[in-house]
Amino acid sequence: MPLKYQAEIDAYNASFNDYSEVENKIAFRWTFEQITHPNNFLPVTKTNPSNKKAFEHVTGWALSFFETQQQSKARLQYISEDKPKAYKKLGTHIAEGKLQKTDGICQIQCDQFGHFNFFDYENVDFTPNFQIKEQVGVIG
Amino acid sequence: MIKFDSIETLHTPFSELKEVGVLLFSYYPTTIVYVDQNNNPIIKEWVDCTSDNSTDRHFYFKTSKGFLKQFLVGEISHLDLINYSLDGLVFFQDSTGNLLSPFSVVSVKEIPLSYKPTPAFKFDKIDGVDTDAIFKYFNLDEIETKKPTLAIVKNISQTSNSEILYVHINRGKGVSHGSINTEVFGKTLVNFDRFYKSIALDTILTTNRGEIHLDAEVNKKYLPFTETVVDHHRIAASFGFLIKPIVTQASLFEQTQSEIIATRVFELINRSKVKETLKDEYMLHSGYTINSYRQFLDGIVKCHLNIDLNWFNPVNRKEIGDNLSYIDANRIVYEIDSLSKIDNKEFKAKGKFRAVNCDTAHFTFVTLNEDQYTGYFDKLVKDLIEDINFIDIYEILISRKIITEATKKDDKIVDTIMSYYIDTE
Repeated sequence: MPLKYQAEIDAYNASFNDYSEVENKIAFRWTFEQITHPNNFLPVTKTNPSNKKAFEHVTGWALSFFETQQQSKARLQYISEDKPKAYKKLGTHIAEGKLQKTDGICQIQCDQFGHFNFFDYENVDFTPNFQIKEQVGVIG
Repeated sequence: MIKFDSIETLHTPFSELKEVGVLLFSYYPTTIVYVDQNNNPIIKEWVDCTSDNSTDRHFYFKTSKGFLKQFLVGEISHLDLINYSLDGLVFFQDSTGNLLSPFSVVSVKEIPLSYKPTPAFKFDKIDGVDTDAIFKYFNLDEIETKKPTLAIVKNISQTSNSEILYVHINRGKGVSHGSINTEVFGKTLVNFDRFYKSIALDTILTTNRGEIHLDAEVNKKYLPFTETVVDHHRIAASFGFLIKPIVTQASLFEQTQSEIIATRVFELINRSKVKETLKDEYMLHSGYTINSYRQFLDGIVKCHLNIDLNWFNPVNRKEIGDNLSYIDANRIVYEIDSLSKIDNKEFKAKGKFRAVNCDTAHFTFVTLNEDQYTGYFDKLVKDLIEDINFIDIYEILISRKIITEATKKDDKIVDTIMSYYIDTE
């Protein structure tokens, strides 16, 4: 099945050996208050196209998730200690959902913060499968 | 986005900038390092955006390779890096796609609070994105950060032609770059001053001296050797201050009193870190000095301080340095305490009072076997001692403290009468 941004991703000539499909994998993602917010399930290359750095690596076209709610919250709070307005850019809430085989390919190994990348397939809509779990910050 | 007072500037404050790399974060590049045409690092900080994410706000500031290195190795916080903007200014710019607003300039002090990192936020390599590239570009491995501070101190010592002790509190409660909690500073300074004065008095009067009250007129002669002043100089450090003797005595050929005192201060600190040498060092100082050193260490432990101490003599170029972490301090306090011990015991005695001072509650008591005890009545019984006579035989309960100190040949005995009554048997 083609990935959502297959044409752009092809330009990187990247290997996806450390990615695989997953079933019922619980995942957490930074989102805005309304789960239908247009930026909630877009990769950074789409949410912040002026960010040249995002285009340097194929992961700029992936979605970021965390293994646990706590890890997701801790990381967002940590960044906001350095940038108090980061919630406006990255999200104010934590949403939880399950990733399925039909959703895309998942990075097998997460990093030490519980973060992993996920390349979604074409036409996948995460909105119905994710629910807001917790508010972490406010847009002030 | 926040509106705040700034001055719009029509000209570009920086020569042509080239991006070197992203410092923070991989999720979104909030801090980016650039270089200007003169090879100076310029930092660009993302600070805000409109709610629809269409416009971003950044500010730029000039920094030095030294400050950049200090930030990257965790010596200074992100807030410090910004506050140490080389010209004290930051230049704001809003960007909407490729459309850039004119720059507006504000002092670092006027940056809105919500645009500043929290004071404790320090760089962690794990958060870095292009850290290696930034190190390599500016050759930061070759930049020394700590030593220049000492070089500055040496220079101050030479310029003022005075021996100088540099006390650098590099970590602890309420300690950040260039600032320190007032109470922590005050207590540390006072504790160190007591310790220094005590060593000075031991040096001048020997360790068999009694307690010296330096505010007494008769003791004014000791002030030139014991008094120091805090010398104000702005030094880039977590928090550092300079202490110098009140009287300059620098001499090329012989040790000055202040050099002897400083040497003894450092010898005690150094040798107290090892159990075996602490015992030897303990014997070389008066009880007053050991107590004041213990108090200084106690303060370090309570405030979780790490302190570097460096002393310089501008004439003979001698320098001495050492450091004390709160972990060192805690261990030394334990070892000092283990060299002293207090035994308590209680016993009864029968005899007559020979003297009783109703004002001070001091007594002299002679037993039927002619043993003599002196000491004080306990607080709980001293109000009734006016009724004591010197004819009746009394039975008294004495609480005895036997204090063994490594610095003293003999044990110190303190007797206190806890209760007494006329023996009617």
